[in-house]
Amino acid sequence: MILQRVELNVAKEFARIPGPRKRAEGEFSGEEFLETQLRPRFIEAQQSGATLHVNLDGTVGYGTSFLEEAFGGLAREFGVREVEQHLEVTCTDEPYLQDQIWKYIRNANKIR
Amino acid sequence: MSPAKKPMMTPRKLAANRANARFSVGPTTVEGKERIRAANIRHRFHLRALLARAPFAVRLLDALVVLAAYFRQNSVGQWDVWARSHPTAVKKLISQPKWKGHLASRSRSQQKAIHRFRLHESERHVRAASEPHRKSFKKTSFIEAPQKFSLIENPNGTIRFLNTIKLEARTRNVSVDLSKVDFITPDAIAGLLATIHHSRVRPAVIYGNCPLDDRARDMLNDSGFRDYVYNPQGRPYRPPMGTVRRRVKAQDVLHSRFDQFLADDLVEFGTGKLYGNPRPNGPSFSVLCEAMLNTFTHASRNSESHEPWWASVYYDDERQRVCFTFVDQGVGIFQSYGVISRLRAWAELNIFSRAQILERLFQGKIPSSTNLPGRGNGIPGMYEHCKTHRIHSLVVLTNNVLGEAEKDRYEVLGESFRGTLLYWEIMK
Repeated sequence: MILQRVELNVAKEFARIPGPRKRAEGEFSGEEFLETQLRPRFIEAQQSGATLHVNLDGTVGYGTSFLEEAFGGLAREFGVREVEQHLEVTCTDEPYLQDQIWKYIRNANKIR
Repeated sequence: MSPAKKPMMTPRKLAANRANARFSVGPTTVEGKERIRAANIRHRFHLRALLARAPFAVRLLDALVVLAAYFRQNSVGQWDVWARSHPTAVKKLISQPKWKGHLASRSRSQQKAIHRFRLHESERHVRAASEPHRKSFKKTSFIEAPQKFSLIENPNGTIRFLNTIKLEARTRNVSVDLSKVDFITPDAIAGLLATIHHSRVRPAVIYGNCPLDDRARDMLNDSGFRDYVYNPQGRPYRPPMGTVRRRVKAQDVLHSRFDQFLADDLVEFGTGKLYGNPRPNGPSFSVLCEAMLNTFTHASRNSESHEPWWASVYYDDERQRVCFTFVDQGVGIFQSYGVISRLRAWAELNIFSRAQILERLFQGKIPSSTNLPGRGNGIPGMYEHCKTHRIHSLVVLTNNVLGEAEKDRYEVLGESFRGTLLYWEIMK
């Protein structure tokens, strides 16, 4: 069976109160989210030719470091084009986060 | 109970007794004279004083004492003789269950006492080894707070006041006089708390009073300030409008340096006051998280130590705004590890002033000191939140620079603040 859409809800499947960038800095970090949730789901979506739909609603908010480490890290690992093809992000609580995440993905390899 | 009524010692009777005593020549009967003689030799000292000029008499007296001790021992020893002649009676006495129980109980309590003593001694040694002995100061300095006590509205005066507290607390106790303050803001309260607790590492005692102005006093009392200072006993107070949280060096667990749960608590406290029920506020949560992370990574001169920080939230009922403050006691952005060489070079070569550097930092034009891809989004992200009105009145005070993001006003100050202060507001 070919999946059309792989779902990932951050609040339900990871944490309602996301944490810092790296595991060493605290609990529920962006690095942990990338390793335990985002990467396996993305690979699943990639292999089945589907889109990974990440729902950011239901949390108390996100630090920019968390988002950059998770989504920027995904782009650094799989490439920006691949991520653009297989990733979809929604956030109705804070819609500006979608633009921010795509900015992090596009600037993932840029050293400022 | 004696049937005779005890005479009441009135001043008059006492005076009469003393007058009669003047006519006394001491005991006259044989019994009386014997008694008074015995009183003199009871402990030998008076007698020895009298016989100081007669060494032979002193030696004789000492020989008598030794003789008395010998007789006393012999009389005690009579029991031993009796016990040897009646062994079964003694054995019966000490082998009774009651006696055995008593001995066992005494042994147990002695063991417990020894254990308690050893534990106390070992704790005392550990404490003594870990805490250096501090002498308390005797002298006290009196420092008057500026009338306008605000790091944002009156940065120079307030920083000078806080720096004076730190300086004086190195050598003496400090009395902080807030009585003349008639304007106070939550950022100054957080700054004062950070300064007081920074100075408490030393043996200085810091104490103070309240503003006489009603509004300023209410703000100080309601801000959560009193949770971190000693208060007079029985003083009724509650912090209904604000709360303060901190991370200090004593809680030196790296994981507790970043605490998103604490950030969430602060945000929910503020929104609870603002909207009537607690609700998330993503931008404020994000700014608090970034502030904590920046302190974690950049606030120290070297990359290893981690500086204490304070975060406060206060609901200003009059202006219908929630005011957030984050203060760290680090080295500030311009002295930070990694950033220091590049920024110092720019400032020294007069390419940019410190105010211009802070402006460029806000706008994301200064690269991250980590030289890693994807870094350096923290402060530009806060600036973006402010410019898109998700948060308001964002102010950054670091070293001797004050930057107001909303007004795009950046100023080099006359006084230098140790650390970094972030202040922002949210409203309905």
